[in-house]
Amino acid sequence: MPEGRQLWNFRPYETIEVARIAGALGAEITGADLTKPLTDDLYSEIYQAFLENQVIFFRDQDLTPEQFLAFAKRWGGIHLHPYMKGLDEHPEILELIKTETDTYAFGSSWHSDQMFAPKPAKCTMLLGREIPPAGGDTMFANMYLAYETLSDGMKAMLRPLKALNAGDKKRAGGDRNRAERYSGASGMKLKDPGNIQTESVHPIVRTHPDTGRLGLYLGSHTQHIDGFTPEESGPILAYLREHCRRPEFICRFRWAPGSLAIWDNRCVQHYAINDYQGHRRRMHRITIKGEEAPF
Amino acid sequence: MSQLLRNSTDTAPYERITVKPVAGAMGAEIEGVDLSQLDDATFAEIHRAWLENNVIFFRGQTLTPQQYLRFAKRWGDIHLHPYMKGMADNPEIFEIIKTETETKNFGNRWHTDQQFCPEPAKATMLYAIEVPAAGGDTMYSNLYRAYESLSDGMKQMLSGLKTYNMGDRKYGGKSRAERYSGGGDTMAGRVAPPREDMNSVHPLIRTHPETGRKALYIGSHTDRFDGLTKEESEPLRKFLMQHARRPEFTCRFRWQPGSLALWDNRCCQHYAVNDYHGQRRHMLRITIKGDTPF
Amino acid sequence: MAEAALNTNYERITVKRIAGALGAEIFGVDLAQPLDDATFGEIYRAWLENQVIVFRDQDITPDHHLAFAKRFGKIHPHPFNKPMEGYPDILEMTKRETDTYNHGGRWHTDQMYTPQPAKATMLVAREMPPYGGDTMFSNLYRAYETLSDGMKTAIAGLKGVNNGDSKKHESGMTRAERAKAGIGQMPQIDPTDIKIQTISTHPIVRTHPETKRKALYIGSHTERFHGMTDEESDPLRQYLLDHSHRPEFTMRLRWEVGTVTLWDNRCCQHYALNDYTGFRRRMHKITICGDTPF
Repeated sequence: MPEGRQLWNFRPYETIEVARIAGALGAEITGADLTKPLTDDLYSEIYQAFLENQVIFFRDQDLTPEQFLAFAKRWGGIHLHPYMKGLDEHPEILELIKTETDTYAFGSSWHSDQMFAPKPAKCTMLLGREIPPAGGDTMFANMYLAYETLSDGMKAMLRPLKALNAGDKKRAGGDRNRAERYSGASGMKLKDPGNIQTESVHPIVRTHPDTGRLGLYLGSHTQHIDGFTPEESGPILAYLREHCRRPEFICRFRWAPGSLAIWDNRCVQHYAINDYQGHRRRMHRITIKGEEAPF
Repeated sequence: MSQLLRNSTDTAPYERITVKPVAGAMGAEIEGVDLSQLDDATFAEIHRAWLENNVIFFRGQTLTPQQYLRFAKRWGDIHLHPYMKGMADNPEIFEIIKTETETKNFGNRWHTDQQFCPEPAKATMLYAIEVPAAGGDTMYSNLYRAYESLSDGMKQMLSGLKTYNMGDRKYGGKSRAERYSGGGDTMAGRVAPPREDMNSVHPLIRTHPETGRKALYIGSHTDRFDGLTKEESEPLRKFLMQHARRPEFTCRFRWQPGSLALWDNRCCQHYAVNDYHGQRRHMLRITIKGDTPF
Repeated sequence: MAEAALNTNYERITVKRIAGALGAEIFGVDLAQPLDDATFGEIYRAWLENQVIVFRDQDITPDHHLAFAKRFGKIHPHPFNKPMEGYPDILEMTKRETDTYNHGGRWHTDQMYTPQPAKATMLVAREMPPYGGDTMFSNLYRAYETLSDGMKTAIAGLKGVNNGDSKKHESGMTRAERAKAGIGQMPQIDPTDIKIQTISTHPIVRTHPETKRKALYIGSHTERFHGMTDEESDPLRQYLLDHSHRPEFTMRLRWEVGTVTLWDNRCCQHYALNDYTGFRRRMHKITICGDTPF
C-alpha cells in the first residue's frame, strides 16, 4: 500500500438497504433517488456498499444525461474512452448501441475496463435505456475470491508476476483487432486513440487501494506475462482465466430501462452476454478515472 | 562458436580417448577404450567427457558382470532401486528384459532415474546383452538446455518452485506391478515395492554439484509442484515436460550388443523407445548413488 | 510380427532397417552409375516398405541427383522457394554459421498445402556440421493405426485445411516477412509470381495410392479442420499433431556428406533439427510430383 493510504472505515447503513443477489458478489440498493444531488452521508453509504459488494445495482433510476453526469462526478474524474466517441452533447457519456441487425456486442469477453491504461478506470457505471425483452444480461466475477481460493504455493508463485495488457491487440480467445470486431457494430463510433498509452504492464495480483484485499488482475486485454514468452505464458494464463470464471465466483444481472450498475474494475471482471440477436439494446456508460497505477 | 551447445568445462584436448559428439545438444561416443582395463588417467578423461556431454556411449565392449561392476564402482557407491529387485547372483545389477511376447517396456516415459528418492542416483549405466534387429533406441534430453532456453521471467518464477516426485505415480490409474504385467510378467516379477511408497520433494531448478550449471530438474515422476494443488500444477508441469523434450535438446542412441551408455541423471532425461514388438531385448543396468539435490 | 533387420528377399541391394517404426539404409548401390530396372525396382520397393531410405557415401553430382530423382516421377517445383543457379529442379538449402532460423524445424510433410503435394523428397548432404543437424522422421501409418477404433471413426470424414503460409508459423511471421527479415535459407519467389495454389484441403485419413494403407495425414501446415472454426479444431488438431510423432513412431537420421535420403511424403512427417548454430550446413533438395490425396 502506498504511504499514508487509509483503508475504508466500514460503518452500518442508515439510509439505504443493501440486498445481496448472489453468494459471491453483487447487491441491489434501494432507498436512494439518484436524480437528486447526493448528500455526503448518502454518497458514503453507497460507496461503502460498492466496496463491500464489488458491483451494486439500482432500479428505476430515470436519470437525464445531466443527472447521470452529476451523479458520476461525485465518484471522481470522468475517464474518456481512448477508442470510442461519446454523445455529441455529453462527450463523457458513451452510448453503447447494438441494433437489431448488428452481430457484435461491445464487451462480450471477460475483462476489466481499460486494463491497458497506465491508470485504469476505477469504476464503470452503466445505465439501461433500451433493453431487449430477454437477454443482454451482464455477468460479474469476484477477483478477490479467484485469488483467495488458490493454494498458498500458487499465490506465492504469482505474487511477483506482472502482465502486459494491450488495448488493441487481438483479444484473448479471438483473432480480430478492434476495428475488425466493431465492423459488426454499426452504432459504435470508433476514434483514433492518438497519443494515449494503450499498452501497460500491471501486477497479476493486485492490492485494492480502499480495502487492502488482494485479487487477481487479468482479463481479455492481458497478452502475456511480463518477461515471459507468449508460449510460456499460455498455460498459466489459460488456467487462471478458466479459474476466474468458476460459477461460484459469479453473479448475473438482468436489466430493465432505468437499471444502473456500478462495478469496481479493481476487483471485478465482467462479461456482456450476446444472446439477443434481432433486438435493440441501448445503454449509457460513464467511467470514473483511476487515481493510481495498480500495485 | 562451435562450442556453443556443449557443456565444455575444459578446453584441453583429450589424449587417451577419442570423443565424438553425436548431436548438437548432448551425447558423445567414446572410442579407443576397453572398459575392463582402465588406468586412472583414462578414467579421468572419461569422467570429464561424461560431465561435458551428459551421456556417453561405448561400443563393442565385452564385460562379465564382475568387470561391469568393477567399472561401475569407479563412479561411486552402487544405488539399489527401491522398487525393483536385482539379479539373483548379482543384486547390484538390475536386468531389464523385454521378451518377444511382452508389450510393455521399462522406462517408456521421459524421466530422470529415481527422482522420487531423497538422494536420486547420480548416474545410470546400461550395457546391452541382446538387442532387436531394429528398434529399442534410447532418447536423451539435455535439462541444462531446457532451463537455459526459458525466458528470464520464467526462470525467475521457477526459481522458487519445488517438485513433488512419486515413486509410484500410478499412470493411467495403474501401479507399477499392474503396468508391468502386460502380455508377460518379466518385469512384474521384479517389482518389490517398499513397505511405504517413496516420494520426495526436490527443487525444480537444480544446480549440478560438479559443473555448477542449472538444469530443469523435472521428469515423469514429478506429480505436481510442492504447495500447489495438482490441478494448479498441471498446465505448467505439462508445459515444462513438453519443453524439456524439444528435438533440439535431444540425442538418440541405437544399441548393439556390447554397447554401454552412461548418463547423468542430474542434468538429462531419457526415454526407452518401445518400437520392437516381437523381438527380445536384454540389458544390464547399474545405478550410482547420488546426493540430495539443491 | 517379427521383422528381420536384413530383409532377405532383396537380391541386388542390401536393406538394413534403422528403427522399429520406419527407415532403412540401402547398401550395394552407386547412384553415380546408371541403375538397371531390376535394381531400381528393388530400391523402389524398399522405399515403399520403409518410407525413408538412406544411401551412404554417395559421390554424386547434381546431374546424378536429378537423373536418379527423375526415375521416381516428374519433378515438383517448390511454390515459394527459388531453385539453384543452373538447376531449375534443385533447391539449395544453406544454413550459414551466423543463421539462427532453421528451415523445416517443425513436424510436417512437404507441401501439404498444394492441391497435389509432392509424393517424395530426395535430399543430398553437401556440407554438414561435425555434429548436429539430424533429421527425424515419423511413421504416419503407425500414427493412424494406433488410434482407438472410436477415434478412427470420429476422424474418418475430417479434412484438414493446410496453409503454406500459415499465421500459426512458429516464427509468428509470414514467408514474405521472414524473407524481408533475412531469415530463411532460400531466396523467395516474388509473391505475384506464385503459380501454385498454396492453401489446400485434404483428408486427415489418407490412403496411400500404392500401398493402400491408411495414414494420419496431418502436419504443421494443418491449420484447422474443414468446416470448423480454429477454436473448435484446436484441441483435436493439437492432440493428433502431438500423437503423430510419438517416439515409438520415429527414427532419427544422422547425415554425413554424401548421404542421400528419399522419403515418402504421403506417409511420413519429418523434422529438421536446429541444434548446430555456428556451423554451416548445405543440402540439395528435389521433390517429386504426387497426385491428389484421397
